[in-house]
Amino acid sequence: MSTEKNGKRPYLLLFRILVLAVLVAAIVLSGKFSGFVNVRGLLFVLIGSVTLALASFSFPEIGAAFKHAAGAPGDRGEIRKSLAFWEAAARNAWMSGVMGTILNFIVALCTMSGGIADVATRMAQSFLATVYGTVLAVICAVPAWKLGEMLRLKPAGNVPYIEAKPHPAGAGSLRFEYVLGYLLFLVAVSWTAFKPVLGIAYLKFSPFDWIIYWPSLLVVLGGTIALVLFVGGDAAGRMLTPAFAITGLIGSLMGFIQALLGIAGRIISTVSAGITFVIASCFMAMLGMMLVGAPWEDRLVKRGRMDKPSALSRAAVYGFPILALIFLVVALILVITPMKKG
Amino acid sequence: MKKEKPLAVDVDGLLKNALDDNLPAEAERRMQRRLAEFRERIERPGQEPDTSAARFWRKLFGPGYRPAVVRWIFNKQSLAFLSIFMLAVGGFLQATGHRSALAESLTGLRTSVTVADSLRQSGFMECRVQMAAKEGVPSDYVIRWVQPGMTRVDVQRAGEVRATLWITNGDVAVIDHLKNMSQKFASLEQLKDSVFQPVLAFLSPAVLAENMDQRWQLERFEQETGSHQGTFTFTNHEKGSVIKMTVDLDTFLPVQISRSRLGAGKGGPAEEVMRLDFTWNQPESTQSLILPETLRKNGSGQ
Repeated sequence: MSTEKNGKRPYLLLFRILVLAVLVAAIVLSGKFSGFVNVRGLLFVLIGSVTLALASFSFPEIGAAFKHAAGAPGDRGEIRKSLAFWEAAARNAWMSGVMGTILNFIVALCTMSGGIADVATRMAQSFLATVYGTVLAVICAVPAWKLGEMLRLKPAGNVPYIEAKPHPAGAGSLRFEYVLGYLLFLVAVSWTAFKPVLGIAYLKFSPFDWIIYWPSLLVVLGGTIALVLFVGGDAAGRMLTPAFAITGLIGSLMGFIQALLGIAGRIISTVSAGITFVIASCFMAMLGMMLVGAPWEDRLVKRGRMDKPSALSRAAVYGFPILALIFLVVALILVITPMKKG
Repeated sequence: MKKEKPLAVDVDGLLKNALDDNLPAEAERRMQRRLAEFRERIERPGQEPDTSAARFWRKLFGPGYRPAVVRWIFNKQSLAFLSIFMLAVGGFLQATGHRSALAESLTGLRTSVTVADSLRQSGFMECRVQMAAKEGVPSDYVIRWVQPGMTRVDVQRAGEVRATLWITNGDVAVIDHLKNMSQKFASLEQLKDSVFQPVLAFLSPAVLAENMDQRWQLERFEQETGSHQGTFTFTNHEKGSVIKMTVDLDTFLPVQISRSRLGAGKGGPAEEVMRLDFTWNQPESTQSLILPETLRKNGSGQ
């Protein structure tokens, strides 16, 4: 009886997701919330979250996480892995949302299909991706809370003996899912950048020029490597996420100083260079956190090398995107505010 | 001998009690892992330390394979040098104004917003409009933005004013100097097929600013090094034309506008159909700006 009930639970979860999807589709198709619809942002959040999950977890681990979320029983070790998956999924959704916002913001700035008013509207609409990401993060956080509570209540004595096996070198490191996850994520980023210019015969800059700003890339990457080297040892890998966030923050602040100096000197090109550095630093730092830092930590947690991401890492993962959003809002204001005559 | 046996039993019991096998699973797991890692390290004493970089390389290509170049790249000193080099080059590129699509778009947008704002706040302006001969309108125009809400447009041919359009706070009137008669219109819409049609987009600073904001699509903004002027290129898809606007970057006001037909599909250069030259000084004589008596009767104008 109990097994039958447990067997039905995944279907129940699927049914609930379907009902939710139908509701969302009905709201979108009604047209009453057209101002809150950004299809490209939504697709980026969904694809980004799924591909980043693949970059950290294997198909069986993802399947087990869904089963545990639906109430299937499992031992403490399995539930811990599932909990790590759902926490990572919530984090990925949140970061994909902010990343989608930054990407759409850049694309809105670089492609103009209407007047300035149209560009400003599209820049504002790019923030919708963060809303979608936050909603998806909350949805993914629910199973994580549930599994966390189960873990807390489950008596430790019932835990079966887990043989400590050092991870065999080379095995399971470059899994098919990881490669697929990274590839699909890069495809999603490229698609978001290339989609608006498909069919345009002449382009002064390629979409890669929009998203790859070499000064920011070099500063963020160089700063991250330097920080990781300073920390050194086993803690270096755990430092990747905070290091990306710290260098992204420093880069953004430097960009703001340059923009403010440009405003003081009434030199628009300097203001633009400063704002570009801010936006590109946020983009590069987020990309580093999503592609390198977060998956690295996920694997460390999965292998038992650390219990959970450090407080600094969590602060970086949830705090830096908020800062990036604030920076984007300030950049938007700076772009649409006219320069005062001297 | 007999006395020692019960003592040994007691010691065993004591040890069993003291070292009871009740270690929490988490702690046991961590301890096992540490032991395994330690064992692995001492069993392969000749190998290099198990750093993060070494682990990363092992994960990529398996144990044992690590070419000299890679060993050199993942060396701590090389990485430190690389990071400093990257920081220095990044900072240098930013300081020397690295060209980027995003920065150019931002410059264009911000300049465009500033020009539109300056236009809205502008005072008197006189603009001479030259039409291309092919356009079929054998006339030139002089547009004067007299004050907010008041515009005068003269149609000239061979230096002689043929007709004048007056716009005063929404009232539209046309004076035909040849026939010596005036005609009033309810709105600018009614002038669409008239001789004034080519200049309707430039009748007031507000109209020009609105076109920049909402109708014309900004393609690019270019500024020559050391120059105090920049040129916008807009596309007006409704009219099928390309508008080039040269602006003074000290005052953020237009100096010249030229409109060309879109040469899309033909591959050839765009054909210029009209050119506007702006003068932003105050008028030398106010005589030409006085509203005619016939138009003042209805209370229109100042």
